[in-house]
Amino acid sequence: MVADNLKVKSENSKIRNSLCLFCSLGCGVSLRDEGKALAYAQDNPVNKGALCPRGHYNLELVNHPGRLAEPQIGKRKVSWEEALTFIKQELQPFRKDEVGCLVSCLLSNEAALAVARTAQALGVKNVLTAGAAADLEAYEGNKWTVPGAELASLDHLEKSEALLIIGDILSRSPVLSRRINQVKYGKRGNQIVVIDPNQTRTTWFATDHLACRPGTEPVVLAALAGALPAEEAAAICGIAAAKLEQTAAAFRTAASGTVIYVPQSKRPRNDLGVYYVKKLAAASPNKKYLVYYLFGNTLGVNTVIDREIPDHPTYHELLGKIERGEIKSLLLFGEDISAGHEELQKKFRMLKFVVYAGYFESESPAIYDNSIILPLASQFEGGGSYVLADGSLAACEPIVPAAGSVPLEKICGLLADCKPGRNDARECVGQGPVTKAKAEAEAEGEVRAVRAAEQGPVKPITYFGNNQLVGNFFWFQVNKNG
Amino acid sequence: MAKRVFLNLDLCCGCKSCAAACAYGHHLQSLLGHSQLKAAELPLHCLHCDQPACAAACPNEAMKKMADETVQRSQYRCVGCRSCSVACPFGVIQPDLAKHITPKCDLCLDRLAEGEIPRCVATCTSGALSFAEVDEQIADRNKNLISVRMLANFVGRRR
Ligand code: SF4
Ligand code: SF4
Ligand code: SF4
Ligand code: SF4
Repeated sequence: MVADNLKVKSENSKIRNSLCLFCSLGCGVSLRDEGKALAYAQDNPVNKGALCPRGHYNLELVNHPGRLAEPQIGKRKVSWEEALTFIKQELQPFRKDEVGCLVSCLLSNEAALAVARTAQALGVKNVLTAGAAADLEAYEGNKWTVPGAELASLDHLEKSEALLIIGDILSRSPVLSRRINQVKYGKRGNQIVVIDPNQTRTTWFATDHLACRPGTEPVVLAALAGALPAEEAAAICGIAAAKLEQTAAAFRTAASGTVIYVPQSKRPRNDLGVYYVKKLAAASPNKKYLVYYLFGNTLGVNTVIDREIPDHPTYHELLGKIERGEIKSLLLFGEDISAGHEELQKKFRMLKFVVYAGYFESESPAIYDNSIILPLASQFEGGGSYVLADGSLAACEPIVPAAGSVPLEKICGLLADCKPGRNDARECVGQGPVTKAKAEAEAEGEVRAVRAAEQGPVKPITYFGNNQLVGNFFWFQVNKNG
Repeated sequence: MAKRVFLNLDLCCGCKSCAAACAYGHHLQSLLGHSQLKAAELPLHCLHCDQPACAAACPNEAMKKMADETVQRSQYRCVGCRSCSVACPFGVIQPDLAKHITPKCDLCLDRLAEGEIPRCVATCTSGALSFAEVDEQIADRNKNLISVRMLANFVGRRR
């Protein structure tokens, strides 16, 4: 009988618990048979076994037949020794300021620290993090200190009587829907207000939907936080002043509440949005905030890089340097951000030498001309510590053997002969985010500028990285049109 | 009575995690279709009917009511004619013509044999899916047939 065979198999296979760290929620997952089968971690407090489609992609990384196992020079497979001599020899002719370095926000704190230390050892200053552009913008806003603003835990979210959601959280992380349902159906009178210009999955669950003009969410938030007169805000965002005042009062008087901010790349000034979310949370008792990052370790990687290399360039500065030919060589850690991004590929063609450490072969032909590709271990093979959306530190232990791929810490060690210890990164992150010394008044002045930003040219959407990674997965390819 | 997968329309957020989980357990072919409504992408689960119209329509006896009261499709007998897909009154069989196979929920028999719940129920992010005795759910049937949220959004839409 089929059933009997299956029983025997399940007795032999060992279940290993781990975390999905593809986004900043950190859901629990279980893998069986060395990662070949998926079991659901039903007793994990974060997700109770639930996984979003992206979480399934993440698990597919383990044992994916397309994964790199050996270093490659162009399309040619080579040994590690040959690869390292090649890198050393190719990097030699460049000056230190001619080398740039990009580290993905999906990597662990340890990996980020290793990259930073390698960059310091090599004397490279052009180090930058690569993630969703909106996430990075929101991270900038997160640095502005607002006294009294506290990060919400998921338990606080679940027990809140009022939720204020900015953006489409249920499309980004449906795993939170169980908790949002708890608020919606838990007690009569609970309110869920969604601020979004569109009808989305999240607005389905809203008790009230504030449809503002696209891109004016920071203005709505400023009005709700009392930093902008309601009439003035109403003229910009298109929501009646009375409605804004009523919403603000209802949120203020609720016994407990959570503001959830979802950075979205079509919205200008996510940093201001996060700043006002913090002000809103600090304004009345028992209100907290949560910023959801699409890339798992946006908080951790950025904190580490900011601390270790304080004078690193911004994204546009780095691109400008590549375009002007000031940067001739690039070290890409984690992801090839130019995949599926034609403008970036054009810029990357000007590079003389690229080192790319990733999970899959890069899709962008620009990388192939003169490059070396190193196989990178995924979180399930390499492990590491990650900073989640609620500010907690999650430790992920390696649970499956890596078939040829190597953790980034080790790659960096080989590159620069520096071996940072595991604990270093935890210390570095434990000190909380770097704070940005910025006058409140300045930020308040800037929110009025959103009106100008809204009418100006549409900001190009730089949503890089994720597409290439996800594009490699079977389920995505089979269901691309579904 | 047998256990079946039930959907609570008030809770489902249309995330398709259930379809992803189904695909991962079934050779990357999701056996679970989603309604194509723009506003509400709800999963369409096979009910494993008492008198399955799909089985009656099948010219090749590929679709059959089994002894364990589930309706199963035999991959080897199926010729991909899509008769079942047309016959099913609930539209749950969404044919994948490119592959010449017709996906149909098997109620995750492999997991049931191990004493686990089906994949889609285990992974449902909102708690909308449940795996329960049919009798228990009958009392609650109104909940599964009509939804306050649906009505509010379709009928009473304010904008
Ligand atoms: S919500 Fe985030 S952490 Fe959870 S399964 Fe999805 S991608 Fe992974
Ligand atoms: S496919 Fe349709 S007709 Fe066949 S058992 Fe399922 S619900 Fe009934
Ligand atoms: S019960 Fe199993 S086969 Fe049926 S839809 Fe759910 S996951 Fe797919
Ligand atoms: S996983 Fe649950 S919430 Fe998501 S579409 Fe399926 S039934 Fe709905």
